Amino acid sequence: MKAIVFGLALLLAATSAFALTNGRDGSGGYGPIGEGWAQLRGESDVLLLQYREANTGFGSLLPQYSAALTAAGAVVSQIDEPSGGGNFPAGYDPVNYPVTFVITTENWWGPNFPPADENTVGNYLNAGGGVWLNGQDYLYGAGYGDGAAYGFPNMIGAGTITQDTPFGTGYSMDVSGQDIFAGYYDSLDAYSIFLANDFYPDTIEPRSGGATAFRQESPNPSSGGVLYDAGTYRSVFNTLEIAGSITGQFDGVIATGYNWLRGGPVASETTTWGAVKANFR
Amino acid sequence: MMPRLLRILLLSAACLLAPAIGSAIYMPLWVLQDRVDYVFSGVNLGVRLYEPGDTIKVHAALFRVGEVIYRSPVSKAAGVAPGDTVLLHIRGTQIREDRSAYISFAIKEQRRNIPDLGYPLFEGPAIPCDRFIPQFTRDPVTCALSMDPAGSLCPCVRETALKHRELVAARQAGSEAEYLRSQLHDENVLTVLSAMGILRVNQDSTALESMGHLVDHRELQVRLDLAESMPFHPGQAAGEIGIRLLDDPNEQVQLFAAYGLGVIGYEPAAPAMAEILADPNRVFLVRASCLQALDLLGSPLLLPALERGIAADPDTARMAGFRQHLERLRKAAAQR
Repeated sequence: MKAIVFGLALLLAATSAFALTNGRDGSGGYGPIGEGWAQLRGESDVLLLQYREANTGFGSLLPQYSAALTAAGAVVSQIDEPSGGGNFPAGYDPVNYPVTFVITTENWWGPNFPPADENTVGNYLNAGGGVWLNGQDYLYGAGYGDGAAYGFPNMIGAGTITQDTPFGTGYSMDVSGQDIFAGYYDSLDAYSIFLANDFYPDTIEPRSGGATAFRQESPNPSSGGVLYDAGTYRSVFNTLEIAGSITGQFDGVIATGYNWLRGGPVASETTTWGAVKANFR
Repeated sequence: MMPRLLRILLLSAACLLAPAIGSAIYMPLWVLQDRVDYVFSGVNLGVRLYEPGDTIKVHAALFRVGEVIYRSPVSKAAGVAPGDTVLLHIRGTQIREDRSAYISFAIKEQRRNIPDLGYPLFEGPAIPCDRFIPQFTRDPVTCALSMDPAGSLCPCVRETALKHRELVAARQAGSEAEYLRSQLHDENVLTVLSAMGILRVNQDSTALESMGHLVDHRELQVRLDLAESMPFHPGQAAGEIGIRLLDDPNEQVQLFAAYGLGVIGYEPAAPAMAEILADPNRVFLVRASCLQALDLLGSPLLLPALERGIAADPDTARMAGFRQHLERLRKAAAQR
């Protein structure tokens, strides 16, 4: 028995590529579990939620996203979620937070956006919210398989899913914008944003009524992001980490998405409001 | 079905007290079931089989073997280990080439089981423990690094140990980095980077005090790590570092510095950030980050800087968001 256990130990240690690492390819360091923190504003346009389970082991994208949203005119509240999620601010609804951004950075330890939080954001959407979810491994971490999308991914616009196309895309990736993001084209660098991983984009095709929002142009041309206007809510779901270039058009893309999302059903319609106010002059 | 804790206790007891019985229970379960309690029990069994006369309760090597398959469950198992008397036993002879992983994993388990005591026992032909008995009162990671001041320890061991920077108290991080700087050449910059990672964890306003010289480090990643560590160490040291990093040659460092200054609320940085906000030649997102930081600070410098920045920027479309902030701020100022 001793020999068997020892043999198993050697065999398993030999396959230890993923044992102590944040990197999906076995590289990188093992990061600690983070504590998380919140920075909430009195009045906010956007709630920015970052899920990186091992907070210091995965790169933070809060600086990039909060700056881009601020550049777009938004007042941003942000939460660096501790492991497990479930830390929404009091009064989390589309009135107090018209738009929510969820980012999972390079976090592939799942579930990086837990089911309970999916439910919370799902309810928020049904109440008229707008959500942008950006994460190359949200689907992997949450355990969604390839094929027809269901659950929250389907709710935010995914019709079919093919994860990791291909596995380990590398540190460089060209992406383009489609539909409302038409005109966007950028070369992204994983090294500038991630601590332990290359790009691992997924292929997601839009559901009925949705549209492709972002495409991976190289090395593997495919649809990597979708947008969806459900009537009651709007969403953008992107598996391409477009924060990988801050001197490119990242800020413009975020501004376009933010303005489109907040222009959903809960926003004031200026013509109507003008007519209403005119009655009281 | 028995409660999990009871199953763990029973299986562990079986493994520890009677390896033959324990193995009869454990092996089929390990093969057939992906369950944390079986893995945990298996670890205890392995310990027993390896060290029948020892007092060791948890064998770090087998924990790691378990983690290869059961990454998350074994971490949880470590968390419920009856660990107040755990001593970690590193068998450097068993898998020599992977000693660094053994040590790092041992450090991790050490922390999870006896976080306040921190008396690791490292043992192996390359690391005779009696050399380090005087060090036992030191932090585990510091101890691991100090075990081999002569440098015979594989550099990868140092790096791996330092990657578990969450184990280093923030108050020690500065001195640890100083130690590393004095010991290592630039080709070991990865180790220094890991030392920087130490700073990202425990909040301590003094932790960055001895790190100021790194703002000019030639390695971009060092400067990035330094900037990213700022929110975890609010205080004057972080603030002064942040101000200097605002003028870093790399825009990513500038962005993280501006963001960090906003998060820690460092008021003396306001004039520098106001200048950046008003300068159309600076990277746009860095300017936006300065806007956000000044807004968070409630700085009176924000409004005039924003007005100057919008007026000076020829890209009027890009300034649309800035103008929204301007309107909001003017409205708020009028209401005061």
